[in-house]
Amino acid sequence: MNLDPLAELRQAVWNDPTLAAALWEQADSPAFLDYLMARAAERGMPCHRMALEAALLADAEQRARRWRP
Amino acid sequence: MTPAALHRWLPAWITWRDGQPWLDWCYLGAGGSGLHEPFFEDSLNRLLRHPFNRLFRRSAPLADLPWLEEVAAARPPEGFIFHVSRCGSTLVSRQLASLPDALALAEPGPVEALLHAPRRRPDVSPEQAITWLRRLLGAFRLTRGAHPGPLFVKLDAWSVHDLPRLQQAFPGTPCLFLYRDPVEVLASHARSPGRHMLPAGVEPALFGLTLETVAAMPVPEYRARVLASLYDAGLGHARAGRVRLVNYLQLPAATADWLEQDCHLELDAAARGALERAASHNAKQPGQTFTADGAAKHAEAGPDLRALAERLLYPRYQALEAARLECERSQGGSNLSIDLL
Repeated sequence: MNLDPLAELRQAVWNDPTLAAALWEQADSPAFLDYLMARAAERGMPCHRMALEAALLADAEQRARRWRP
Repeated sequence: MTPAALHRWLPAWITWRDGQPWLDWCYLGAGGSGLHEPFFEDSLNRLLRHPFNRLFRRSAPLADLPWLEEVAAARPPEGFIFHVSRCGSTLVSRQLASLPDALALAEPGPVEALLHAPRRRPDVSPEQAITWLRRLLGAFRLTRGAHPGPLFVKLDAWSVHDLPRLQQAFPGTPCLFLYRDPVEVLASHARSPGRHMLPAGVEPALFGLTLETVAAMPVPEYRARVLASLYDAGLGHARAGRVRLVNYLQLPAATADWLEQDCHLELDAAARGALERAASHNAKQPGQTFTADGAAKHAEAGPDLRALAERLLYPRYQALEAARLECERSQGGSNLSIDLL
């Protein structure tokens, strides 16, 4: 069982260069999460804003991990 | 995962899980190499802060990606750059990065992690490391998509000690070894030491030292001994025919010679212009114009540093120069004759 609420969306982004490029272009916008949720919903992969915000918060911890042995 | 799905994804770092290397990628965005900074790590840190990469970085175990070896075998890297540090290696990597569609990686962490893994991890054999290096470089090759330009890797200075492992992975890829007058190198590290010039910043055994001897050794002597081991390694590789020797004083022109003669790349007027323009900037401060600083470095070196260099380093530097000149004579040409001390 995959506990990552964004797993399906991530797979879609990783396998679709066009989607990845489109999201990259929007990612600096303040409305990025809204844009992202809209694209995910279009693809039948609705994701909750809280899941996205939690993933962003978890990012710092994940990045720090690469410095540990 | 398919080759097309890795277009614009940059291998970022290696993590170890249950003794297996996992590769993490971050996204480069659209257009260009995405590597604007003089060092890979600096570009990576910028890319990782991008909101897209905070949500969509990807990772996979290298064990699951055997097909990347075929990618690497189909088109191995065009060149590897080894060096003694503070000797123009960043200038060379900036020149290479300026070539059309080129991807020039300046001291990429994932390569260092896999190259040295057999020294650091008892569960990693040299043969495994070679396999993983091929897969990693295959992943770097895919970064630029279906029609990539040349791929160059400038290694960390201490990686010259593991050069044979990289050559086992890519036997046909030409290697350059850059070196410079030892007083100028040591004076630069006295201003701002690199990681390998901090005692035990890199495992001392790599330089033929132990923690005990390092702890008892004055820092300037430690730096001189590290530099001596780098000179020795470069000389050994040159005598074995593994590297082309290039003195800092031959730059920037020697880069084009190496590309044409060893890497067999044809440089048109645009490429030559790009190399020249890249060389006109300070490699580590690209907003500034390059100015030669060898004389300033000699001026700021104190008598102790000079004495260390005389005792431990100039004989090695002179041996490198002799080997370079002999090689150039045997190839029927000499780029530059340099007056030795």
